[in-house]
This record gives sequence, C-alpha cells and structure tokens, in this order.
Amino acid sequence: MTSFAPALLGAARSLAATIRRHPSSAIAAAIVAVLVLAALLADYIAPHDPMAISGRQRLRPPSEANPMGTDNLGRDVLSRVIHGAQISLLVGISVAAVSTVVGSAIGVLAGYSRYVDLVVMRIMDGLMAIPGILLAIAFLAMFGSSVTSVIIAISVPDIPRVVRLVRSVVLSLRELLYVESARAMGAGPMRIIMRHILPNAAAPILVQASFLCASAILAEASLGFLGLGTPSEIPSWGNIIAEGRSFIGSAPWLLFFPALALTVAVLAVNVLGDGLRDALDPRFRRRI
Amino acid sequence: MNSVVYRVLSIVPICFVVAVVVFSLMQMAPGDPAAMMSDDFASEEQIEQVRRDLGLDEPVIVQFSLWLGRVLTGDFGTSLFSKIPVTTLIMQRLEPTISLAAGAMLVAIATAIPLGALAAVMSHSWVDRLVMTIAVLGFSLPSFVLGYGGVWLFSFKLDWLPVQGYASLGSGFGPWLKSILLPSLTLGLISAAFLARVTRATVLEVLSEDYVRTGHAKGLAPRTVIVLHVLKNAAIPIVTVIGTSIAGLLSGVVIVESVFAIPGIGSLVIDSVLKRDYPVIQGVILFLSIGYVVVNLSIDLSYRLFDPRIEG
Repeated sequence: MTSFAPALLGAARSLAATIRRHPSSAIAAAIVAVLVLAALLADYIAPHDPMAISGRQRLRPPSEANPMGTDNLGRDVLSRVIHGAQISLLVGISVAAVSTVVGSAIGVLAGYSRYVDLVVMRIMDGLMAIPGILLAIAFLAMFGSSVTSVIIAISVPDIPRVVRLVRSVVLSLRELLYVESARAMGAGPMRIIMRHILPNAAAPILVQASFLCASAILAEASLGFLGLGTPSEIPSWGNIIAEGRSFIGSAPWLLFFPALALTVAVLAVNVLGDGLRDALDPRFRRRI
Repeated sequence: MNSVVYRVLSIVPICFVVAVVVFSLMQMAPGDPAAMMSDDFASEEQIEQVRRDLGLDEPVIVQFSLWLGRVLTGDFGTSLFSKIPVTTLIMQRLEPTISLAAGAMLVAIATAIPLGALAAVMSHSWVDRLVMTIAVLGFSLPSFVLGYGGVWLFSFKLDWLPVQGYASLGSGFGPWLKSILLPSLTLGLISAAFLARVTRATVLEVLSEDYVRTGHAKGLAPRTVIVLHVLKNAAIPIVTVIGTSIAGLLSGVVIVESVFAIPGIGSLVIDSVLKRDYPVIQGVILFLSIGYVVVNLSIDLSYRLFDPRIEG
C-alpha cells in the first residue's frame, strides 16, 4: 500500500500539470466524460420516463419538477435530452469507427499500390464532389431510416477524407529508412503495413477520428432535424429539435435545451480533438 | 495550354464516378421504376411499354449508357408525381438557392478573411485567442440552431425581419434582401469558422517569408505590407479553400432552406425524399455535384489569370 501512494500522487500531479497547461482540453474531456456517463446511465438518472405522455403537463416552462420544461405532449424535456445523448454518442462513435477502419484499409492499399491508387483516388474524388448531406439523404431515401442506416449514411461521405489522410501518411512513411530496412530484411508488405506503417500513422488517424465523431453528431442531428434521421419515436437531439420547431414563439425551451446539449457536445469533442492534435503531433501545433 | 486541357479533362472521371454513384443508388431503390412512372391505372401492357420505352428491360450496363446519354443532353428525367421535367423543377428553384448561397459566401468572406488575417498578424495575443475561440464555436454550432436563435431574436423578440419564406428578386430588392438576410447570415457565419482558421494559418505562413521582412525593412507602412504583400500572396490557398468549402455550403443550404422555409433546391430534394420521387433526388444530386466540380475547375483555371507563375 505504501509504495502505491507515491505513484498515485505522481499521477495526480501530472494530471494537474496537464490541466494547467491545457485547461480547455481538460474541460472538454470532463464534459465528454459527463456525456458518456449520462448516456450509459440514462435509465437511472433521468427524472422521468422520456416517453411518458401527460395531457395535463403540456408545454410547461422550466420548473423544479421539469428543469427543462415539458413538450407539446407533456413529456419531460430533461429526460428526453439525457436519453438523446445515447443516440448522439452511439452515432458519433460508430461513424468515427466505421469510416476510420474502412478508410484506413483503403488508404493503406492506395498508398502501397500505384495501380490501386490510380483507380481508388478517382473514385474518392468523385465521392467528395457530392455534398455530404445529400449523399446521406439519398442513402436514407433508398434504405429507410434506422439507427444502422443513419450510421452508414453518415460514414460513406466521410470515408474519402480518411482515405486521403491515410494515403498521404503512408506515401511519406514508405520512403523512410526504417521501412526500407524492414523490406531489405525480407519483411512482406502485410508485415510492413501492420508493424511499421500503421502504428506510426496512428496519431493523425486518431485526431481525424475525433473530428469525424464531432461532425457525425452534428450530421445525425441535422438529419433528425430534416425528419430523415433516426425514427421519430426515438428521442435523439435532432428529433427533439425538429418536434419543437413549431413552438419556437410560444415554448422556446423546447428548442433551447436540446440545442444547447448538442452544441456543447460537438464543441467538447472538437476541442478534445484539437488538444489531441497538439499533444500527439507537435508539428501541427496551433497552425490551423 | 496543355495543362489547361489536362485540368479540364481531369473532371471527366470525377463526373463519371458521380454519375455511377447516383445511378447505382437509384438502382437500389425499392419498387418497380416502370410501374412508378406509369399512370396509377395503367394496365400491365402499358407498364411493359414504359419499361421498353425507357430501356428498363435492357441489361444494367445498357441502361446506364442510355441514362448517361440522356443526362449529357440535359434530360434528367421527369418527376414521378408532378410529371414535370426535373431540369424545369431545378430551374424554378434556382433563384432562391443561388441568392442564399451567394449571400452566405459574401458574409463568410467578409467576416472570415479580415478576422483570420487579424488573428495571424496579432498571433498569440488575446485577439487571436478570441477569434479562434469564436471559430471553434462556429465550427460546432449546428446551422439550424443558429438559424432558430436568429429567428427567435430578430423575428419574435425584435420583430425586425420576417420569420420565414422567400420574396423573389422580381418582387423588389428590399423585400428580397429582408427575406434572405437572416438565412445568409446563418449559413455565412457557420462557413466563416473554417475559412477564418485557414486564413489565419495561410497568413501566418506568408508572414514568415523573406519578402515580408524586406517590405518591413525598407520602411513600408505595416498596413501596406499586409495588404499588398501578405494578402496578395495568401490569396491563392484561401481561394482554393473557398472553392472546396462550396460542398459544405451546399450541404448547409439544404438545412437552412428547411429552417427558413425557402423554396429552393434544398427544399426540393427534401420534399422529393419524403415522397420517394427518385428521378428528382437523382437529378438534384447530379446537378449540385457537377455544379460544384465545375465551380472548382473555374477557380483553378482563374489562378492562371491572377498568377503568371502558374504555367498556362
């Protein structure tokens, strides 16, 4: 026990130093942690059932019983916003994961083989020419709206961005001496990619993934707002805002609180991404 | 000259991929297209006739070539519901969309470039931190949230601007400007966030160049150095980013048109999706994507006018 205490103290000290040096990243990380906890524990911490309709409680302004007021069906807005965090984080994290994994696989192939590169990059240029939300909308029009199709619809326009990044990193890494010496020692392409290239490309890919997560949360809410996202019975932030839009004059809290939650969540993930970039890649520090 | 031809030809594969993607999406659409394009009371034979007329009984490759041939002559098909040609529908909705996109672009350029340049010139000062903080905020603020915030403040509380709707230029400049002001500000300020970050980064890079130091050393006024030497040299990367950010702007148009009930191309696509009017969805995506590619090509080619160093 006694040897454990100094280590813990050291960790706490370095954590305090990090917070002092990057206060905004630390706040952002804390907000993301709160959001994750809210999403995981939504069933326990939400004061009311997010679906419970009450005719007598319609359009009540914020009060002690309903801190964020109630909507046109008398449902508690706070409970709906807490449950909304589940969909937003699920879509954000899944899109970041899907587009990063698929995009990295294609990007590595393109960076490694000239022939694949020629074909793949033309396809990616074409995909990037289609405005992202239109591609997502068209996809949802074809396959209907469910959480899975929303995740795929938002991931597809993001994939070319990952491919471009990973390809450029691979192109610069494959010329480096340590890759050449691995090749000279008889390592096959698969081994070089898995052991030497991907681990060194991890930092920029991770930073990109955090920005993709933020933009996916935004895209999910935008699709929900347009009435094309997750099915309307699911209380996602975009759906809550879409339902509240006709009451902006009479009950602005219906829009204000979910909009605040959405903005704070996207901002926190973006700031965390900025901090991650500063920490992992000193070359890009405070450039863009 | 050769490089101009090469650059122009380079958009061919991009447009081809766009066409393939759009065509395949529609191939995956549920339902029988021939039945959807026929009248509600059409007989089996009539549906077969439509199928033959449109070449829908041919193999997919043949269907694709027939469709591509029609698209190349400007025939994007007809709406399943109104039976109006898609090209006509797009043209009818073009004015509000162009007004909104151009207004937003103007707002974005007018705010982002001075602020981004200021942040770079005063880098690491409180001005820089303030501008970059606002930029990150703009990056994270959904356009519909900013839009409804504006509606709540300017339309409901202050009663300065109309809540929703669009007044065409034909009805007079004043009403048009009033109807387009808040939507353009909404979309423009959101687009400005990214542009300001890029402007700051580009200007910072140019500021460290030798000719800037020479300008200062020979006693030019700081303002002259910034305007004549720094901004002029930072222009090309900034203009390139403006070009590529049009894709994001077009995505934003779809949402902002919905917030302000503007009857533009964005609303057209949303209405068509809700009605499953596939030819219209297909036509709009194709039209906007190719428009985006052509605008970027023109920007790229215009560099040759501005910068003699780029080979013609």
